[in-house]
Amino acid sequence: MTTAAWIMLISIWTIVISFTVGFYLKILRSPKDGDNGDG
Amino acid sequence: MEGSVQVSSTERWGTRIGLVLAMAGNAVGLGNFLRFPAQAAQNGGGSFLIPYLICFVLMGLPLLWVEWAIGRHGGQYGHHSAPGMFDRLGSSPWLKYVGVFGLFTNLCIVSYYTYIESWSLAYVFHSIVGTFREIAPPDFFNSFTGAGSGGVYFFPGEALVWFLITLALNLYILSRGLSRGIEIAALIGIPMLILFGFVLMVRTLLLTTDSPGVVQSPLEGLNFIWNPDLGGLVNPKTWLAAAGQIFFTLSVGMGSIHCYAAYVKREKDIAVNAMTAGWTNEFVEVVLGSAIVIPIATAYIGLDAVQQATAGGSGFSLGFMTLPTLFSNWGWFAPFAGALWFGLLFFAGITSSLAMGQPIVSFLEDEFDWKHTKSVLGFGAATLALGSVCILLFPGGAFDEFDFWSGTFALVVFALCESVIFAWFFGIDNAWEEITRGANMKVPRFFRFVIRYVTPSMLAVIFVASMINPADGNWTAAFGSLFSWSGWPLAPDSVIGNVLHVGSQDYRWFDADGNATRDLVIDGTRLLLSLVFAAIAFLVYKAWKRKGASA
Repeated sequence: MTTAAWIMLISIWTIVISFTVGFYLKILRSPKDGDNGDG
Repeated sequence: MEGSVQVSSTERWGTRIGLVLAMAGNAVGLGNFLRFPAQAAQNGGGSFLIPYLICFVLMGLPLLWVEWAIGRHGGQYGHHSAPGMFDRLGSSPWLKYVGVFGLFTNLCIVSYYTYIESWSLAYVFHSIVGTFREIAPPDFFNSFTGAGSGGVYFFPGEALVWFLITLALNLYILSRGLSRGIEIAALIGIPMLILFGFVLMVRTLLLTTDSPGVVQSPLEGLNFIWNPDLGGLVNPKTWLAAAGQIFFTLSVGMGSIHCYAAYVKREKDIAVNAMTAGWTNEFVEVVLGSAIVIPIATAYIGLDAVQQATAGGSGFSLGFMTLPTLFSNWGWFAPFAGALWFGLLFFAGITSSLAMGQPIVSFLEDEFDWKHTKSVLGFGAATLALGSVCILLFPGGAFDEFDFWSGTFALVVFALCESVIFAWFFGIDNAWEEITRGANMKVPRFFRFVIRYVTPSMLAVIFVASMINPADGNWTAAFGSLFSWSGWPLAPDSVIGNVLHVGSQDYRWFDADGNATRDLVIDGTRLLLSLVFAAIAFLVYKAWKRKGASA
């Protein structure tokens, strides 16, 4: 793989994984979790 | 639009994580693994990802918020399908007919999508029993679907059985309802999909040129996807391809996100939920999707063959026809690898098909007061009828027509309409309040401007481009041809090109022996799709007339 390809892969994967994990943490830390239904 | 908010007595999601995974499952589909890597590789490699992420932020994320907001707003009035939701966005009586798209797309797409899903299930079985050690996958595929039959009609006995099994499974899950059916399927399906994908990704990236059968490093395949061709950034084709991929991967413009969001309570968050589901789709697509099919294929058949196989912008032939053979190089792990790959595609498929079924079920329940089981069976009967057309006339091109008109064109039209209606008819103040109410994050105010101006403009560009897409996607040459008074060279897969049968040699409905031709199947399918759309519009008319009479 070229250096440019590695840079693209690592930077885009980092962005995507960070946002994905960040939003899941936000949901899991939310006190309202588990209460999206009637109960 | 005016009137008191009714709290629907219908069921709701059991947990927030279940809702998010169901929404992610709706978005994650076969395209994440088969279409994305081919599109990236063919449109500038790593530099494709720059317009791809820009389109995700300026069009994808805003559309997700718009659809979640329209859905939750409609749900407050007891509407869980698009016609009722759009009726509540303004006072004009025609708004509910825009919602017809939200039923038409789901019903028509699920009819052929369930068929592809059933192929995945069948391929899991055949991988485990070792069929692909004896029959070459392309030969198997042709005999399985009738693709190589030479005629326009084929009765694929085994494929039909797998389709019925898959449809029955979908109906069973839908019949169990939202929290006990769809949510449980998502809670199992999405983690399994990610696990299967991760195992395959690790196994692939551990291949070296010393491994048996390997002709090239799998990293050459990754390089094919990720090496940036910066010239692509100034090519309109790259930007249109990126916008198109973002649009189709998120399952927007369908009506299924609206439906799931309609079961969220009025004061609950949609901003973070939509982000989480959207980014989960991106994780599956950009991380797992890029690291499996093309790297494996490159390792065993070389980069030249992979470039050829993905030239059309799809990795379908690699996924279904090439990979099953290549897995045989993995010894004892081969049947498991096949089962993991097609199992992954099956989970991606079923979580999407459930999301397409629920809006139809909800429409029958809400607007015609049908019981849940009766609604599910009604949806099943309609899917079976339309799916049979796709299956029996597969060699004649009915399947591809369903995919083009309902799975491509109608989505763009619906998304363009909804973005304009939500921002301009419902009003940006109402729209913003709806998106941000109960939000667990501060939605950047910049998106208010994006939702009002940028997203509709981008969708309008995609719409116009799909109508007049030039031959080979070469816009520069097309404008050159136009300004030299040589006309506009339409691509056969543009909307106008499709309507005019551009590229069709010797267009006729019957051949010299009086046998039906592919052109007859194509025109017949278009007529059928038009009738389905008209029938749904009539049902909407009847439902509102019935309500008017009972009010």
